[in-house]
Amino acid sequence: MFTPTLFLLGLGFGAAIMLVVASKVFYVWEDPKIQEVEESLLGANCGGCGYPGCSAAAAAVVAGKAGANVCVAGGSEIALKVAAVMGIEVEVSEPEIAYSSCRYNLEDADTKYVYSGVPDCRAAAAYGGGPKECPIGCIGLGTCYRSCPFGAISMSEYGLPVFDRDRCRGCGICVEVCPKDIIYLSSTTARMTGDFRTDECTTPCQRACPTGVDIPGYVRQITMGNFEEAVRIVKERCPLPLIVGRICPAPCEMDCRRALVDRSVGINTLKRFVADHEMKSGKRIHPLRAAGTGKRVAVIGGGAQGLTTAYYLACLGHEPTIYESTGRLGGIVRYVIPPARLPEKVLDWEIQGILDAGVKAETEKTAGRDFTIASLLGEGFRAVALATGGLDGRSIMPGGGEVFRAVPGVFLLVDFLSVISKRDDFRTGGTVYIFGGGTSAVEAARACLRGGARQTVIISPSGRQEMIDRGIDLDGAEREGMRFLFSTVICGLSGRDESLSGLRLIREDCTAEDVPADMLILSTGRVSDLVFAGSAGGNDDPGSWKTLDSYRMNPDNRYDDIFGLKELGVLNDNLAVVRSIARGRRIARSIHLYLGGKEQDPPVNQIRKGMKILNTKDIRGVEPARRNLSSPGIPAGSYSDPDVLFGETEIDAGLTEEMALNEAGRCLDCGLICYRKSGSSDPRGPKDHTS
Amino acid sequence: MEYLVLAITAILIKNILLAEYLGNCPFIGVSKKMDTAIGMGMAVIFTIALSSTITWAIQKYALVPLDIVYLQTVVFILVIAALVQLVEMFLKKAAPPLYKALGIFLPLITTNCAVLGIAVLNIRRGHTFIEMLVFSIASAVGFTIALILIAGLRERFEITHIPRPLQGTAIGLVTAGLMALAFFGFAGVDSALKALQ
Repeated sequence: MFTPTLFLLGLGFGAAIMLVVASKVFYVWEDPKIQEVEESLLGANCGGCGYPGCSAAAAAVVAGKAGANVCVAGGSEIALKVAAVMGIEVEVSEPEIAYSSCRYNLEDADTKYVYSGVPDCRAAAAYGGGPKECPIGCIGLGTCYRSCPFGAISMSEYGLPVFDRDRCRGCGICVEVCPKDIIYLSSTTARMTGDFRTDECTTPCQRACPTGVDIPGYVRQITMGNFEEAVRIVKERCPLPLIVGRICPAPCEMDCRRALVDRSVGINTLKRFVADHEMKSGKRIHPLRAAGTGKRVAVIGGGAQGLTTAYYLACLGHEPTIYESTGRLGGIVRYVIPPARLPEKVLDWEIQGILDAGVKAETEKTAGRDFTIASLLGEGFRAVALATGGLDGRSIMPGGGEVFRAVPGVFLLVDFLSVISKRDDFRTGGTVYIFGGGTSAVEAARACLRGGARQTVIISPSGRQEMIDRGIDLDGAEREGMRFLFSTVICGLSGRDESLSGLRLIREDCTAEDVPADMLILSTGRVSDLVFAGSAGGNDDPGSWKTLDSYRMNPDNRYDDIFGLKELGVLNDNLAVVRSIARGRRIARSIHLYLGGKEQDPPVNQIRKGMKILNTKDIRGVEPARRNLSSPGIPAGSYSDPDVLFGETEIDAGLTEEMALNEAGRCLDCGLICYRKSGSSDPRGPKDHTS
Repeated sequence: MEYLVLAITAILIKNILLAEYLGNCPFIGVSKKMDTAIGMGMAVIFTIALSSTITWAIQKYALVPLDIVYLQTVVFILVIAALVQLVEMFLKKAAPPLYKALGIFLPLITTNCAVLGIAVLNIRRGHTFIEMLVFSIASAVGFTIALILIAGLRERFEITHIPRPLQGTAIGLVTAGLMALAFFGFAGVDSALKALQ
C-alpha cells in the first residue's frame, strides 16, 4: 500500500525538483518587451511582414531589426501601439497595395491551348506555364481571390482580379500564391522611386520613355474622361508635363505599336492636353504628399533636373531647398526654348506648382561663391544633390582667376592648366588624380609633379592602347613618375569639410576600390548627379562627407549611358528635358533611400537599355483610325507673326477635348504582346490600381 | 539481420500510425503542410528514442523490483511529460536553432499516444535494450514517413475539387484509411524475411 504511494510521490517530487533545477540551469533571458510587442500586433500570423508569425516579428522589433511599422497588415494604428511599447519613433510609410499589371483576359490574349483542368491557377501553371502565350499573363482562375484573408480581391466579369484598395492590407499572401508572380505590392512611393522591371507587363512606349511614365495608364484615364487622374499618373514619373508636353521629342511615339497599323498615337500631345487641363482648372494635382520627415536636403541647380529632384523629395516627405545661381528657376528650358513653343507664363505656372509641393528655392546663390557643399552640410542639410546638368562651373563664371570650386578639392583641367598651375606660388602636396585620357591630362600631371605632388595618377576610362594611339608617350610619362589606371572610372568622392580625402574607383573587373586622394582634376567639367551625404563616419565624425553610390551602380553596364557608371568627368547625356527629369527622379530615389537608412541597391530586374524584352511586331485585327493632332485656328508657318514670335500666342494650341478623346481612343492599350483588337470584348480593360 | 527485420516490420508492416492506429491526432492535425510534417516527424523521432529508453529503464529497475507494474501507465505518462519539458528547456538553452525548428511540436508530443504506445509495446513484447532502441527509432521513422506521405497528399488537396462536406478532416481520414489499406499490402513481408533468415 505504501510502496506505490511513496513511489509515485517520490517520482513526482523528483520530476518536479528536476524541472525546477533545469529551469534555473537552462534559463534563457527573454526580453519581456517581446511579449508586450506581440500583444500589440495583429496576431493574424499572416507572415506579410516577412517573419514567420507575429512572435518572430515581435522579436525582430525588440532586437532592432525591424521598425515599429513591421506589421504591414495592421497599418499605422498597430505601428503606433508598437512604438509606444518600444518608446521609438514610428516611420509612417505609405501602405503598399496589391495590384496585377495584366489587363487581358483569356478571351482577348493569345493562348496556346484551352485549359479545362482543376480550376486553380497553380494547377494550370503546371502545364507549360498556363494557357496564355504571354509568360506573365494572368491565368484568371482566381487563386489569389480565394487566398485573400481580407476579402480585398474580386474577379471581374472579364476574369481578371480586381483589388479593393480600401480593403487590401498589403499582407502579400496573393503575391505568394500567384504562380505567375504577376501580383505586386506597390504604392505611389514605389512607383515614384522604382523603374520598370523585366518581369512586369510593360509596353514599347513605356520602355522608350526615359522617365518611364505609365503611358497606357494615363491614356486609358483620358478615354474614360478622368483627366485629373491622368495628370496624377503622369506626375508619378514626370513632374513637368506642361513643359514636356510641349517640347519633348517623344521617343515613346517612335516605338508606338499603332504605327505598325497607321500612325503612332500622339502620346506627348495627350500629355500636354491633360497638363493644360490642370492649368486651366487652376487646381494643382499632386500624386502623393507623404508624412513629413523633417529632413532637409539641398539641391544645387534649378533646372529641370533640380526641380524634379526637389519635387519628388518633397512628395516623399522631405524638405528640399533649391540653390539656383541665376535669378529665376527653369534652367536651360527657360533660356533656350523660344516662347512661342513654351510661353513664359506656362513655365512659371509649372514651376510654381513645384514650389507649392513644398520646395523652397534660393536664387542668385552660386556654389563655391555664396556657399559650399561643406557649408550646406554644416547648416543641417542631410544631403546635397548636384543637379547642375548641362552647365558646369566654368561656363557660368567667365573671366580669369575665377575657378570652379563647388566641390572641395576638385578642379577642372582647363582651369588648372590656364590659371592654377601658372600661379607663381603654385604648390601641391599629397596625391593628385587626373581624370582624362588626353595629352593635356599628361601636361597637368607634369605640372603637379613640378608643384611637389607626392604621387600623380592619371585615370583613363579608355585602355592603354587607345592612349598610345592618341599619341601619348606612356613610357616617357611613366619615367617622369606618373602612374596610370586604365579602363577605370570614378564613381564617388569623400572628404572632410573643404578638402578631398578619397575617391571611389570602379576598375575594369567591375570591383569598387577606395583610394586616398587630396586633389582631383577633371578633363571635363560635369560633376552633376552626385549626392553628398554628411557625417560619413557617423555622428562622432562631424565635418566628413562622402557621395552616395550611384543609382546607376550596376556592374553589368559600367559604360551604359543611362544606367551605367558614367560618372564624374564624362559629358552628361541630358540631350532632352525628359532625360534630365529621369535623372532627377532617380537622384531623388537615391536620397530617399539614404534618408530612410536603406542600402543603395540597384533595383532588381530593372529594364536597361538594349535589353531584349518580349515584344510583337505582328499586329492584326486593328482597324485604321485617322490621327488628328492639328490644332484649329493656328496657320502653319506663323513664326513670322510678331505675336507668336514674342510669345503672345503659342505656335501649337494643343488639343480640344473631343480631339483628345478621339486620339486616346486610338491607343491599343498594349501589354507585352497583347493589344486591343477592334471589337474586343472589353475595349478599355478593367479598372486597374490607378483607378 | 534480426534487428533489420525488426526495423522493417516497425517501419512498414506494423506501421505505428497505419497498422497500430496510434498517434492519429498529429497525423490529421499537422499533416497539412510538408514543412510542419517534417518538423513534427523529427521531434517525434527524438522524443520517442529518449522516452522509450527512460521508461524501459524505469520498468526494469523500479516497477518490476517494487512489484507495482500496475502503475505503468501513470508512471510513464508522468515521466514522458516531465522529460519533454526538460528536453524543451535544454534545447532552448543549448541548441536554439534546433529548439526553433522543433518549436511548438515538443509540447504537442507530450500528449501523443504514439510515444506512450511505443513505450508500453516495448515492455509488452519483452524487448531487450537494443531491440527496444531499434524498435522505438524504427517506429518513429515509420510515423514520420506516414506523416510526410499524407502531408504530400494533403498539400495537393489545396488545389483539388473536393465536395464541400468532405473538405478538411473528413477527406484526411478517408485518405488515412486508404493509406492504411495500401500499407496492408506489406503484410506477410515480415514472415518472408524471417523465412529468409
